[in-house]
Amino acid sequence: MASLATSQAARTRVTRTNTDAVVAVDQLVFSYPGQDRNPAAPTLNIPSLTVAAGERLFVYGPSGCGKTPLLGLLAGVLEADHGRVEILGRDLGTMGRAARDAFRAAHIGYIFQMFNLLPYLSVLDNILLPTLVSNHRTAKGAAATKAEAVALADALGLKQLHHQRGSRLSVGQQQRVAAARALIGGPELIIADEPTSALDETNRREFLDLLFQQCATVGSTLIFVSHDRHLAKRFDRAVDLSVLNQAGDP
Amino acid sequence: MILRLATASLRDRLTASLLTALSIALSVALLLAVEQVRTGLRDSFSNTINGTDLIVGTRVGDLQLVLFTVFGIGTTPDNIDYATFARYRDHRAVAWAVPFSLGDSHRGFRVVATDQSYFEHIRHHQNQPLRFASGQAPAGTFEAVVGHKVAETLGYHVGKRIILSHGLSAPVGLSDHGDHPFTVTGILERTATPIDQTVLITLTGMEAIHGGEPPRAEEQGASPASSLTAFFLGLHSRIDTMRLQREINTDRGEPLQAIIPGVALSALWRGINQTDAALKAIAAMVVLVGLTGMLVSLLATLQERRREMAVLRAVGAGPVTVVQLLLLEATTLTLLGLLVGLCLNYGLLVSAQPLLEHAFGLVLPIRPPSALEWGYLALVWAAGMLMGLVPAVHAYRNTLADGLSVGL
Repeated sequence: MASLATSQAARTRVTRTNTDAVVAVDQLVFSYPGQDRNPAAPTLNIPSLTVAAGERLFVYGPSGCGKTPLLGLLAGVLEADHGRVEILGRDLGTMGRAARDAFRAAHIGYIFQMFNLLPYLSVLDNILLPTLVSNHRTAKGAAATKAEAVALADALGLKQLHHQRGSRLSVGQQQRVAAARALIGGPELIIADEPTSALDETNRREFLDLLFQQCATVGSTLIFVSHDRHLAKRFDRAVDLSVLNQAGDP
Repeated sequence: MILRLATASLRDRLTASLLTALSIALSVALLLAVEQVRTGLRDSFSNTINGTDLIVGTRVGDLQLVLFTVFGIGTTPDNIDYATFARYRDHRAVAWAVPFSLGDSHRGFRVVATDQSYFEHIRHHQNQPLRFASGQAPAGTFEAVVGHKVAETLGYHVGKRIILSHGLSAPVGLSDHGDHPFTVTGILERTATPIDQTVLITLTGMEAIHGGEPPRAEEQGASPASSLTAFFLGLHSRIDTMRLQREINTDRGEPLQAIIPGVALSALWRGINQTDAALKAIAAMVVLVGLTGMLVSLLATLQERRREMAVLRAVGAGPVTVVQLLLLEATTLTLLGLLVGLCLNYGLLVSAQPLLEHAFGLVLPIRPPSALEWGYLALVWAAGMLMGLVPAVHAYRNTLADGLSVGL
């Protein structure tokens, strides 16, 4: 895997301005604020990571290898100490916090491991949540967006549950609502943080099938993080974060 | 969008939200009630006498003059010549004049000698005239009208014969004017003023029991009394009040003093009223308790809402949005509390009004909130928002620290 990462690194420099690259990480160094910012021992040190448009990337690694900060950086919630994080050709480091929030609202769909929903909103309202924050996601107009939410809910097997409140759903159903929410408005990048770890085998398979299917339909790039290596074979490419992340390496 | 989230979130915690709003509502209702009772007491006090422009007496001081003319407390040793009264009664600026002669009592109640003008011109709360519950004004020398409380306490009715006593606190029988019994010709309706505790007779009656010559009916224009204790003046135009006051105060014939009742009553109210500040402080503390309840309930949910905040962050909402959401919830709860409190207050006012009037003679008018009350409501709302700032700032910090990963 190390060789894969390094060969990837070589390619990144060339393709950084390539419009095909949805994610381009270059010489990324990150330490959590509040921690002793020891430059010699950062939390994250990734020389390079590139994800092409439409690619389904599987990122795995044991807990503590830096998955959470990596996703925070890709989503623009955390800021890198050094290096660049480019999403869709935009350098997140040059944006202000509000601009990154707006960018995330417009271009990134995010799925949590669990507790994805606002318990007091209905399934449809939960799916429509990103469209309330960003005009980008409602580019087709309110009626079309509503129709899209209904179509996504139906496609993800939530047909009878449109008006059910978030707090009334099973974990499997919650994760499918989360997927629909991430996909609405067709964002270019979907980031999924262990979305299947709380699901049983059957639900996990079903969820992945539906997620892949909808990502293909919408045309979104997918970054899927999990500690479960068995899922790797279903993706276009897999990276081992513990190898990719050179923090702590001698 | 935030409004929708805030209302949905509050609706989700409906019971807790309603209880919080109710606790604010109760404190607001109490605040308003305290304010209404406070102003009610003050108004009822300063409206004890209404429509009278000047009270004229001998130079005993503003306070004393108000006390013995309006409240029937204390007395004055000096008298005013009846001719002086007549002179001012006929003054071109004066519309009406009511003479006042004090000094007698009846079983602990004061006797005021006056004339027909008293029943025509004396007004109390909101310019209400005196009304007779039964009977009519005294016409003859030995006729009397009694106030509501006098009739109620002593069980008097029209036609009852009563004996007056000399002096104000003399025990019954010691210095009775036993040879001159009076007949009750009328009983006044309740006024919720000291008039209720007064026995009213004519000046000629007063003169007669003090050994003066009983006036003969045919003697037209003769003075009904040689001297008075005080008199009330009503003017044609209020503009003349100050000028006439100065004129009376510098009267060359007699050392007189004229006071404007409203001014004197306000000064007296400020002087004797110690409860104002205490009532206000209690009301303020009750509101504070209500708002603290809201603060506690918002803070209590904050921990479990960290995931909710992370979800909002994930879909692109900034930390400021999270702050706005919490502020809006506090604002909405406070507003709800204010509205319910206002309704509660009016409900309370409508239901308690007859009771208060009957038991304490306190008339609380039902009217839209005064400027001061609106001010209080606005203040409570602002305080509610300020309280909302506490959980909002907490949420802001949490949001920045948590980002998308909530370490619960």
